[in-house]
Amino acid sequence: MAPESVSMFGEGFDAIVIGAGHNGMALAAYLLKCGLTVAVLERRTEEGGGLCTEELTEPNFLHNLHSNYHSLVGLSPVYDDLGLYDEGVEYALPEVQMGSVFSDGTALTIHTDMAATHASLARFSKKDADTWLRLWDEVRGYLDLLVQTMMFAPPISVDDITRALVAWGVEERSEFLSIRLRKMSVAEFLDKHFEHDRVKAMLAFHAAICAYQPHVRGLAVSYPLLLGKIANWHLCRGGSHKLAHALLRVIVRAGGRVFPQVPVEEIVVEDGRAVGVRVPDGFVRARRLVASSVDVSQTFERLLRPEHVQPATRAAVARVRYQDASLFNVHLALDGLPRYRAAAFDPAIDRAWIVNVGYESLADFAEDFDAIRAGRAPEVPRLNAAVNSLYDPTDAPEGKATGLLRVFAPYALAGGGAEAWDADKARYAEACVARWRAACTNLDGLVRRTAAESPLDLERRMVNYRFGDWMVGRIHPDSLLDHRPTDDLAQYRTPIRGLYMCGASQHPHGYVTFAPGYNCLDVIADDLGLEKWWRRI
Amino acid sequence: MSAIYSQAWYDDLKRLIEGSAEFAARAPKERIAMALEVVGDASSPYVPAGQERHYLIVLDGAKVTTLDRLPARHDGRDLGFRFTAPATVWESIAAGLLDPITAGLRGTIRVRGDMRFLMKNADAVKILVDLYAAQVETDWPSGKPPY
Amino acid sequence: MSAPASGQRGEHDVLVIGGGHHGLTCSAYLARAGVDVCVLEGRHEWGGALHTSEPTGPGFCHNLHANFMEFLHIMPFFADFELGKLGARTLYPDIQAGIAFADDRPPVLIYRNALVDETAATFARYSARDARTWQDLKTRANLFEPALAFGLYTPPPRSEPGRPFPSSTEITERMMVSFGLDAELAHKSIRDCIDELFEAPEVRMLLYRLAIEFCGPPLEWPGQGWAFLFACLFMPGCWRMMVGGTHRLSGAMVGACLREGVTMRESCRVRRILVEGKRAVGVRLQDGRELRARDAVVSAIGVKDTFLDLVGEEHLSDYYRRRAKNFKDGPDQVLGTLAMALCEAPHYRSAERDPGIDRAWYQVVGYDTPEEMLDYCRAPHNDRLPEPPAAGVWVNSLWDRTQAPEGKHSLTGWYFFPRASALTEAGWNEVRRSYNERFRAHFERFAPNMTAGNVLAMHLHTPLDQERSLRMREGDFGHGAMGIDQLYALRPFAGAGRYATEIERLYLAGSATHPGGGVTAACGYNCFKVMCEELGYRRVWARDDRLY
Repeated sequence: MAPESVSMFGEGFDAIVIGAGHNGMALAAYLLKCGLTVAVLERRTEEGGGLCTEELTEPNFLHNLHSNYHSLVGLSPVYDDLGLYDEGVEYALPEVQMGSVFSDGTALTIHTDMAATHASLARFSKKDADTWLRLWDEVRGYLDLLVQTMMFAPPISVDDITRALVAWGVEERSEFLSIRLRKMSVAEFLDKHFEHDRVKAMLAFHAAICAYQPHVRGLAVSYPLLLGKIANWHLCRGGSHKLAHALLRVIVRAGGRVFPQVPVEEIVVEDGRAVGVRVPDGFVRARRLVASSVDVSQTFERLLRPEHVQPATRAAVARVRYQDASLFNVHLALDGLPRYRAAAFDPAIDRAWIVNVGYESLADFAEDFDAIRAGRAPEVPRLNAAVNSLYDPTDAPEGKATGLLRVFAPYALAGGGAEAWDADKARYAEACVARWRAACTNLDGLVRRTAAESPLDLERRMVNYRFGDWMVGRIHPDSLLDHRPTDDLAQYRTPIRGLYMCGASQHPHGYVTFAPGYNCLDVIADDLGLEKWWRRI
Repeated sequence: MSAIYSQAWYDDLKRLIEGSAEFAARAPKERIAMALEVVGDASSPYVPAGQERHYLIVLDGAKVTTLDRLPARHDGRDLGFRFTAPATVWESIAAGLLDPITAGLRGTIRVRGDMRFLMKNADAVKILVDLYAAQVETDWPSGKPPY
Repeated sequence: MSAPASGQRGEHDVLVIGGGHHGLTCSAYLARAGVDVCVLEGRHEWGGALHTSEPTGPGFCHNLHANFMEFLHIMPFFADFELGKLGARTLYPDIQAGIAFADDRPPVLIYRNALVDETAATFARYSARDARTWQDLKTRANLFEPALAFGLYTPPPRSEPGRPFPSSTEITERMMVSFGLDAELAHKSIRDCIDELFEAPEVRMLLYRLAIEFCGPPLEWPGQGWAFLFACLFMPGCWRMMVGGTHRLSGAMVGACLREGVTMRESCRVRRILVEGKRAVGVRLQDGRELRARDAVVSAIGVKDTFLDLVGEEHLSDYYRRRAKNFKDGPDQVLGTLAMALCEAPHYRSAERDPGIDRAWYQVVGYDTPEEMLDYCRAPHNDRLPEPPAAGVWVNSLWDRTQAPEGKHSLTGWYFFPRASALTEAGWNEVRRSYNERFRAHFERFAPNMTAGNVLAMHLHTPLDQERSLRMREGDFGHGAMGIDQLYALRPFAGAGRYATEIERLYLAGSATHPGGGVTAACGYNCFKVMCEELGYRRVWARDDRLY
């Protein structure tokens, strides 16, 4: 018999969502608008999950500890469905989205204005610049379809996709879509269509920071979708956490509750059905469903008692793989905006939101990821440097700025494991800043304070990011679409009735897409016979 | 030969679909409702700019149970798909001048609905668009594209 | 650069500036009364001083400002909006505070209100007289609670010509008498009150320290007997802890606001209060946008910020301009908040005499003698950092395991430092680098397990940080000194003591009004009451079972 409910939770709720990340909160908001009573239970002190903004260096310097780039704004239906803009969410779309600075003093910039992007690429290769425009043009034609099909719907198999492409003769009708993509890596795709190393490095950098490792075979199949968003990277004004505040407001206004600092300890199952959760205060009843936005490993290995998990499911969950490359982060409080040496070549680089410092060819990626797989942090860190203050000056006191350096790095260091980061963190952070300093003209004296977060710290703060994997499951053909997180769990349902999976471990993956929560909603609506008011066909 | 957008033209299309053994073999099992939206543009002599024509097609297996012109835009309830394009595009397809799959890929035809369904029934989709694009014989009273 | 159109409306009945707990309180009541209210917060986070974060590392929660909650059980907002159901859960530790010693002296402990005898027993280790005195005074203080609540949650009376209301000193004299004490104590310093009533040095030490915890006057200023009553008799024993950190209380307050339909905008800094004629009509934001207020503007921020920065001197009378400029910022001892991520909670030498010290919520540590304590309390007034480093610390994770990773502990504490302007930024940076470690080394004398190896990470939030993060001038944690000249109807200054101001339709709801600093939710509540009187709003605060 289940213990009595505690008063804060009353008689329980129709639905309990575990984890107040953006996916869990979005799902809760939709369910509330369907008329269900909903509570979201969160382990951390703040709602938002990866939408986490803190004054990590010093007061009034807002640092996005995790989610920083929101590339589905305008494409994800959730913003409008839930009225998030009405709750104060505002985005900036930086006109210079990203760029690269190279050791020879040159720079390349990706602009929202494709003519400007073309001009920047053409300084390296006219042919590549033209190819780029054709590719961009083609992708834009089917982007909407791809986003609808590949993200905002429960997953289908690559085989189904391939069959359709063949049946429709897509290969003859497009230059870049091909059934061979399913066998190719992003690097191979870039090698096939582009000639200049720097151009390839820039495009591979973009893929890599989306967690698409350039040399993983088969990922080229998603590359057109990825590329279609390259000029759609939005910055949430006031910090990414503001999006979480808006979600919270939507939920509470709809009569729902979010309870931070209430860690779920167990999903309670009776007769094969999830009936509630156990928290430190007692039992909270879920009358219709429990949705877990926690990663699949924790959900099945920690939150469910072993006797409720079938051996086959347990075995499949044990096989779930996480990314072998995590991120090392350095947050900086700066006394002004950094200036790049390469601005002499392309002044736009000083306006680029996200800058690649160090990747100059596809081989550089292979070198780093090989080192990472061997448990070594890249000797000379190659940076992904973002200065949010360029486009959101409110994130720092007037005249000051924040900076964020990210480096691909292993979770476990060879010879010391993940814990070794605690001792090595300060040194490696200094190496990152030194690398940035070398690429800039004015960083000396600009750095007020820094705060480093190792891959282990990522996991400590967000337990969902197992092994520091911010995508909550690796980006690999074996772990995508109908294989994510396992074949049996890919459709958001679980073998336990009334228990659904709605977090980033599900299709499509992490990042602020809201798609896992949205797709889980679709399945729940089917099962509960809810009217899909959000479906706008 | 029936005039474009006439009831007879749609009856022809319906007969072609229901008469296709190929389609019958590959038709989706589920009933599916689709809205076709023809948006007037400055070029088409059939649908003036600012006007729209709305059609509802319901397939139940290989049967066309509904093929009607609607008085207004479908409200989306119980609708599987919505295909929207300028009149010139639809007419160019019917005239065999424009490949419908390409138009879909380029985003010239805007598709709303569960693409997974179209992918899983890719062969049936191909047969249908070919019927529309190549097989219906069309009379063009106000001129044939490109007009 | 583009952004999807924002859904912000440009006009509301009432605009509330500041989303600290007073602003939230006032907003929630206004909305419940049917008023269209929008609250604007400059920071990215709500709750102002109800501030919890993880400065020492993931999972270690530290309340960088407010920590103990003395008034939740009498706070109308808490009851009226069922904040408990909205996620504000409290714990009420049996042993509220204690002082540890480095030698074999037993600790002095203060238990929660109902456990007067337990407290007295620890006093009796040093002095039977002190134990009896405590039993007598604390029992009387407990009976005073309804009167205290009435005083906190009722606006000061209007002063009318010919009918002056009693001065604060007169009120204090009467209270002293009702405690069976000499009325003269009202005119003495806190230290004198303590010294006259208690004889044991160890008891005095704990009471000295408790007396400066709330943002009251310096220990040795005459005429502050009221502060002795308040800080030493009323407050210790009422302290509640918020489960999950104090920010959970603001989370529940935000929930209450949302449920009532308050429009909430964070990261939204107000640059001007718009005044037309002599009337407040709206605000201009930092980004240039203007919002209009049909009925009123409520400022729940500091008094200088309100009048000098936002209204502007050109709209003020000479009197207001002068009084706003002369408004005295908080106590000369301000907070340096220390945070430590620990493997083990401190285990004190004094625990051998009474294990209760290890389970005391507030642990005073680092002092050997009353003279040391007095010097510590005086140092900030002379712009000195107290030496040796000593503090009062909380280990909230002892009671609430959600505040630290499994098997670890988070310790938060208060140093008392000189005001932010006493040191340069570089000076404070140096303090941040070195002071914690010196405290830790000193701490080890009192609790041998507080070795360097026991501390995983440390952080120090300096007065300059407090000033910058919470907009508390000089790190002033009371939003204005709480001296007898700046209290009750004289807060923030004579003529502005009833939440209304000389600018028509501009109200004050921050801690610069009665009753001052602390998590009372009274300033916002009382402001709402006055708005009901003046603007005819529904008196949704009124309840048959409550006098205030």
